[in-house]
Amino acid sequence: MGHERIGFLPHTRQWRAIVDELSRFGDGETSVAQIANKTLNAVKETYEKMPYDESVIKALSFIAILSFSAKMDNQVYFLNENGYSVDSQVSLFSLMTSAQNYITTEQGSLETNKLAKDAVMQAIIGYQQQHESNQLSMFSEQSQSVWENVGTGAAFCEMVRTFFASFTERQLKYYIERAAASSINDYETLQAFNQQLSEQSKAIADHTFEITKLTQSFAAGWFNKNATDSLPNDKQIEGFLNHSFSKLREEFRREADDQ
Amino acid sequence: MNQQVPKVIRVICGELCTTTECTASEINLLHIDRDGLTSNITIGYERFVENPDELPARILDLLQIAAYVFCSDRMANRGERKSVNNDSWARSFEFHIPVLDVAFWEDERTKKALNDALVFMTGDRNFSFVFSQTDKNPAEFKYKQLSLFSSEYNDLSGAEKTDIMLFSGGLDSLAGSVQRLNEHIDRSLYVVSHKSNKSVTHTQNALVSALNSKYNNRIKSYGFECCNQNGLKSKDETQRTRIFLFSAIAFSLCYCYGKHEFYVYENGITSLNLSKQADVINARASRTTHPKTLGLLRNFYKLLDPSFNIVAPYFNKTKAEILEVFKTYHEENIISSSVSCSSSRRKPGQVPHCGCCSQCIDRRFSVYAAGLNEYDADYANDFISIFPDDDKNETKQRIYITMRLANLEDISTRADFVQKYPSDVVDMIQYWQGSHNADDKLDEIYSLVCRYGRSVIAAATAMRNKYDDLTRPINRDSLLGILSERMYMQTPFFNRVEEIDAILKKAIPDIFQREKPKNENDFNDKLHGILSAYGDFTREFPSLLFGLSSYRADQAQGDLVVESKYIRGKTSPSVAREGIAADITIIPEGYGVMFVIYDPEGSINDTAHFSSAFEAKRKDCYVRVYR
Repeated sequence: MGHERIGFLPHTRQWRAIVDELSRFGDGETSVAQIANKTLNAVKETYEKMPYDESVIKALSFIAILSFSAKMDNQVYFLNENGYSVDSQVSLFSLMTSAQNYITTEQGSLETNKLAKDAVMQAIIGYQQQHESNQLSMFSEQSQSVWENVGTGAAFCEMVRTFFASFTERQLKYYIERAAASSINDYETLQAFNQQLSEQSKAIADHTFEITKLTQSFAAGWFNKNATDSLPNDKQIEGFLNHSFSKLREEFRREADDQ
Repeated sequence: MNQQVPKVIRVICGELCTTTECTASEINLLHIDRDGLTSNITIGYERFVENPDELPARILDLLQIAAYVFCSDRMANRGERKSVNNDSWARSFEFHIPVLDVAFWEDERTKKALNDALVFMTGDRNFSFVFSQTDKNPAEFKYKQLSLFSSEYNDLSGAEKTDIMLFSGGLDSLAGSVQRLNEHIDRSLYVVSHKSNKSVTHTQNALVSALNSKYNNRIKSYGFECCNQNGLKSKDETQRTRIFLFSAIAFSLCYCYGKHEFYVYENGITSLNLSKQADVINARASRTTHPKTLGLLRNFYKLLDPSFNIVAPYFNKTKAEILEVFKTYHEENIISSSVSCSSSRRKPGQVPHCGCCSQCIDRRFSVYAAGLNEYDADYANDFISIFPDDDKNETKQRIYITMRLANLEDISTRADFVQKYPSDVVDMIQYWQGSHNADDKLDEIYSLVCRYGRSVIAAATAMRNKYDDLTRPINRDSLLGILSERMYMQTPFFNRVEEIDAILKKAIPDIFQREKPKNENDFNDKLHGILSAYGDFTREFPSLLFGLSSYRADQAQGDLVVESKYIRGKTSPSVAREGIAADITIIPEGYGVMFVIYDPEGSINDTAHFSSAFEAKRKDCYVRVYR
């Protein structure tokens, strides 16, 4: 009963070129950035629609509500009133379960939905690991203080940056891993490629947020402007996503051109 | 991944059909000839029980609904495997089904429970149902017609001493039946299967027959027939709803005979079916026996029988561990008669296994890991020495992704595992049957995955030892070719720590039973003696640079450092804690570190918390306490 339907890339010229590029990776003739850039070109239409995808909007909204909740007198009550189902300690597991239930879609892609949910969860896991000083258990016995202190532009920005890095990495792997066996001939190269792809996604997200001033002038600023007194609405979130995805795309293009 | 309004596939069933045509947007399913229309599916009521038309209305409805869902699943296309964004994978169904007990089925709780279970097990978007009242018994007509010629219905006499289990004819359910027959010698087994094709039915019958001859006819078998009839060509063969049909049959039998549970014997790794490739999500890795699927089905069946349960005894075992059952009960010879392969690709002669599909690959690694490969069945293709000539490199891809998971790539720690599979972890933990605490459940799940990884690596090593011929060049397009890179042989830190831990758990209490170590140095010397017997461990080496000073590891094996702490008398846990904290800072990145804490007086109250506090501080850091 363990049937597994693995996917393949289409035999179009554009995808064949990416597979060829992958096969040259081991010889050092191409870089991860170039492969990533070509992959994002191949899914251009899909990528451009991401800021308007219901799941991606809900993913960002989830982070914004979490940050905003820290400003409330009763954070747990506020979260549970706004679609979360957290326990009194705001444990990581209850936050992850909340994300699972919150980020749903009626009509959007279920593929994007899964990537967006995983990316948000990775962002909050990463944030907790980074800021929990006395972590005895991963899920159950958290000190609430981690989530009581996320009501700042900086905390929001940190989570959003991880979200974009994780989402981009998952999206690229969603396509590229299908061609691994037909293009890369040895395990060492395959492993190196996967590792570099993760690092590249994170580096580009960091870079985009730092160098393009998304951190100070946009993400934190956006949060401080739009989420100080009330929660941002879907249009505001769409605007933020549109700007961020465009900047990320530019950065991938620039990185590929530089190599 | 484009946003688009999903198309809804209407499924018209039974007497509501005005045609038997099936298109991309409308499927008409009819199991009885009527009003000039010829039936296009078979639902095998006639051999279900004596007088099937006298079954309770809800049970007749349930079997009918499950059959319609299963047949429509096969009739609705899920898109091509080379689809870039898998846009057609998730479908939306709207069923129109006449039922006898409309009040029950139209209840929103029933519909929601049914939709929740089906959506998760299939990865589809939605299953909506419009039930209408009928007074026509769906079993009556065919049963009356056939009963003139056949009385091959189920007879569960002595049902109070009979257990009911699902039986696919694969290794796991076979092991389950062998174990039950041996452990419950006063009870019989009723094995339930879905008759999907002649070959599978033949396998199941042969196995039942073999078991009956050895176990005093204590097995009865029932295969429920449900299929598309000739002329109704299926559009998709992933059959993710098969477990609904399968479980509905088993539930119905339970209901008829006053049983409140049935058994599903499937190994934990196949049930969790972690995505081995980034696009294999949303049930493209089957969730047939996933803990959440079984949990949601359990919720649904509780609406029909509040005390009902589905029991999965092998939920926390790997397939290799399950195979020990055959050794325990000296049933190795029956292994070759079981069939795990469900590939529809052509197999030459009588060979039942293709050797290339995920089930065949999984089976092969498991029997090697268990040391039972001499008893295994034949395979049409032998990936160990050469991958078959498939144009998409599919077998090679499957072997790659299996080895990557086995090697715990990207998931070498528990935290990495959660980071890689966060939403999957939520689904698993919510329905995992083991401990109550989320952290403990995670430990159990991660340990299962690690044990699986070790079993695959051990199997690959055994395959290499058996097949590698030094007089011949290695074919790069084979498992041997992949293994020749040797990267898979680099055991991850966690696995090495687990092996050391297994040794020390036994050795430390034995050695220090009468005389405790004089001091930490003495403990270290004796520990070195134990470890040296099992591997190439160095003492006070290597010398690692920390700033301007150097640091010497108590013990080391390659890039794994083993540091020891001995807690006794004046050396309190807090001293050990400070020592560990200092070591964590000193040992350079890239090294794995295992702390061996000897605490014979039990000074550490909560060893789990003590360990996890440090393990969270550093990647590849493991703390093990011994008493």
